[in-house]
Amino acid sequence: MPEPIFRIKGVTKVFGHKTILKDISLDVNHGEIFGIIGASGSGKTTLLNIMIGFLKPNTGDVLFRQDHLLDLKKAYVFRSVFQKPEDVKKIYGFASQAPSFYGSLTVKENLVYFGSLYNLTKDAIATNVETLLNLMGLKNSEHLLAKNLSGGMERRLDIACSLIHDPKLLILDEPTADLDPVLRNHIWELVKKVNKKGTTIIIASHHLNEIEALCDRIAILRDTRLVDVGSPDKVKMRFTRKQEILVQCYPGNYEKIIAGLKHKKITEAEKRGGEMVIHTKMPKKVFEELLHILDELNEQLVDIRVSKPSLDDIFILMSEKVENEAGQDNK
Amino acid sequence: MKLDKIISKNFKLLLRAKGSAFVVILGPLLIILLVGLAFNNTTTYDISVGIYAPDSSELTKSFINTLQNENYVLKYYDSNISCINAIKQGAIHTCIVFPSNFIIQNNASKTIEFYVDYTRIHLARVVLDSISKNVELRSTQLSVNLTENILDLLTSTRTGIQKDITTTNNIKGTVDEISTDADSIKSAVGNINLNVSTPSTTSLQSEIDSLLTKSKSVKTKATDVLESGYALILDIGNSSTTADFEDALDTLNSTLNSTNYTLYDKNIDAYIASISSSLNDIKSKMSTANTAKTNIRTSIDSLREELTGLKTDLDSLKASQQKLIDDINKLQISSAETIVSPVVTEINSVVPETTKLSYLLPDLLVLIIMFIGLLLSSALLVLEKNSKAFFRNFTTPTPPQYFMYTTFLTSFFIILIQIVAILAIAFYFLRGPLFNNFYLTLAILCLVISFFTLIGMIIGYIFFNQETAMIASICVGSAMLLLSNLVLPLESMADMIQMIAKYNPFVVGSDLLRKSLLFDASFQGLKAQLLVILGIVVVLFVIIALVQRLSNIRFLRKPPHIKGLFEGNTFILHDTVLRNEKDLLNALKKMSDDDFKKDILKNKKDFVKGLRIIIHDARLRIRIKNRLTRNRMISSIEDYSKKGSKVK
Repeated sequence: MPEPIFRIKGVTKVFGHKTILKDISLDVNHGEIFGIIGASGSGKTTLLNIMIGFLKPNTGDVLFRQDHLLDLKKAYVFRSVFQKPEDVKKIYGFASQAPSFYGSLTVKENLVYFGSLYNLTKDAIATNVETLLNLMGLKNSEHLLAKNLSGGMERRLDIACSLIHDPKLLILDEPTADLDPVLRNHIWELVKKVNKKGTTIIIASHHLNEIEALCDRIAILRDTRLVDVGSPDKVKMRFTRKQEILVQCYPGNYEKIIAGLKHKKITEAEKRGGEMVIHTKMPKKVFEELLHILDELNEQLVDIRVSKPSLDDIFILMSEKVENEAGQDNK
Repeated sequence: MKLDKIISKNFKLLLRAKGSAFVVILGPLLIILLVGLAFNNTTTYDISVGIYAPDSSELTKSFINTLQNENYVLKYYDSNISCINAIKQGAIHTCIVFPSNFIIQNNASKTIEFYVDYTRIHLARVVLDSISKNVELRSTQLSVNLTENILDLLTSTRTGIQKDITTTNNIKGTVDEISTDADSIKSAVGNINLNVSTPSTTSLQSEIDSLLTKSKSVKTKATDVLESGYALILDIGNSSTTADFEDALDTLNSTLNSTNYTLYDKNIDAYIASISSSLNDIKSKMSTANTAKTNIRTSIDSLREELTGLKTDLDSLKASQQKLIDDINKLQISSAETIVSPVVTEINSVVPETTKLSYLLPDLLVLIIMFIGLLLSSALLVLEKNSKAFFRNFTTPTPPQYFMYTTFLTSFFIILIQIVAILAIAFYFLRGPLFNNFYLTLAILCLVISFFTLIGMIIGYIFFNQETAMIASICVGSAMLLLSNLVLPLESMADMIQMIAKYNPFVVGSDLLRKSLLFDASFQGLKAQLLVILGIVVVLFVIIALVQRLSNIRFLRKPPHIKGLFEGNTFILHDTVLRNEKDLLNALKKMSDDDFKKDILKNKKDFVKGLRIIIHDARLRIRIKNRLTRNRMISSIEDYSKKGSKVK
């Protein structure tokens, strides 16, 4: 049974006359990696800022779970993050799009400094610093000035600073922005490590495929609204059941193959580069028909692959759907 | 724990930013060192004096010598025009034009003309003070000489009058003596008895007759005696004794015989007649003498009256002379210097003069506190606001007020350390009693530092980047400096400005420090001013708390597509990370015209800052920046892209 740690209830946020978020409701469960994806300007950062109490929603509320210390019958209670912001700040760590630390302090000094801002004892800070330096692979760079760190190390230090008080929840806003694929993988590995230690993680990112691979659940924001929430597979299945069959054959007269497929009423096929892509909800049937056509046309099958649609594909589809709906609404 | 960590972090940030560490921390120490070396003297200012003297009279030379003795740098010019031009060119500080034929004459004063450059108002004042003082000194010396001559004459006059008084006294004495003598004469004359009782010649005649009868009787008796004598001799006979006796008798006999009594009688009558006549004559003369005596007494009375008048005149003369002397003596000022300059203005320092630095020190301290306070605290805040870590501080449970306190304390301690160092250096140079009033001075310094630090913090909270904050700090500092005694005397300003300037913290601060450092003022004496500053500091704290709250709200609640512009080196527009002009082009194409107006045109400054991050070609940046509609901006970027210009 999932235990929510954060509850967003009917949040709407308007800046001036522009609505950024509209009636957003979702739960973030304890121990999961929760992804928030959306196009640029969809309100991801605004939603995160509301979750940590920096921005007040025009309507709705954000609740966080606080362990109940006095009433043993109630293990925890939910409290609004806007009631006493200091309390919610103790349970989350936040890493924004741009690394947030002092460039003129060393790696260790940054960690010690931010640890002191959380009222940790000297011993607790020392312990946490050592743990994080090792966990983030920054031990050898602890005496380097932060401004001299590479992009990947900067990001690791930023996450380390967010974790210095051992929060229950780590919020990462575009943690891999501006990083090359190798560094991105390092960051994702770190995120997994942190999560394995029991920390709930919320990630906002536009690297959809990586989110898909990493997150237990995702929420999709599109044009101010929450389009869907759930595991990546479920979300994908909800939006499309089509799969891709990628075919490579010799001599590769794909136009004739596509014409043959159309004749068999399999219309969603296209030539893409040196191969042919067929979109279908019944891959098995298409596969049988395809082999038959290839045989008729004397085409020799070189390679054939079946691929599920990526989150990117889903997102594009979703965007098109929303735009179509918007177009119809306008008509 | 938390406070000291934040303060320690602030110190590290400042010290590790080498430029700011040098300027903020070492700057003031260098300034005070230089000022200490520059003003550590009491000598005359190094002033170049231009001189135009049409002729070289003795008087002109004496003035020039005076200036030379004061070690002024003298330069000589052929005309007053060239001398004045030299001031304009900055070759000299002042020009002195001596009059031609410069000598002291009766009823004719000469004018020495000074020319100074009033555009350098402080220098002009210093030059005028210094030079005119020396010229006036020489002028006074001349006046003293002239006055001394007059005083000498007056003194000799007084001596002469004193001598005259003595003479007058002598005359008066003589008059008194004459008067006494006249009295004596009068008395003597009065005592002369000229009344003559004329004797009767008849009784004289009878007496003479009686005398004649008696003498005839004596003669008869003598004849009888002679005869008896001869008889005796004869009786006695001749002898030696009788011979002598006989001789004596013979002599007597002869004497008796020689006496002619008849004739004698006739002579006596004649004598008596003569005597009678003489007596009449005497009587007549005595009568005349008596008349004369009377006249003499009258004359003596007249003389006495005249003498009395003379004496009165002499007394009057003496009184006049005495009055003159008294009047001269009443001239209490008898020195020429006093007459020439009856009121000598002697400007004395109320504090023992050591060097010029001692006078400058209070102003200098407040000046340094003001600029460092304004610049340091505003720079610290802007540094913090613009740092990558600013956002993270908000995610911690540390209340924002802590950052306010720590910024204040960081600036406060840095400035305090600097001021202590400056005071130590000043103490080394001045050797003066700077620390007599230690606790009061410390309290004033703390209040002044607090004040300027808080003003700097307000600037830091209001402005977003170092440049504008620095300009604002310098503007505020300059305004306070301008409205202080340091540039122009407050008294020379308009009344309204004077009123404002009196409450200028710079003025109040330096005034308090001057009283405490130089005049050893007591706490009670400065209590009112101290309480005013303390009150202002408290009010500023409240204002800063409000400004900080507003600033934080502005930062945190800013619409995200605008807030993101400043995060690191990433330019984010509408949650889209822009890396080059193509990304910007796409963002512009997706944007509505309303969004363009709201997010770009109204936030032009932020937008331009973002452009600097992603577009390195200044021409393209300027072109984009100057386009006021979305379509034009799109066209500009597209045109630029088509031409294949190299853009990051």
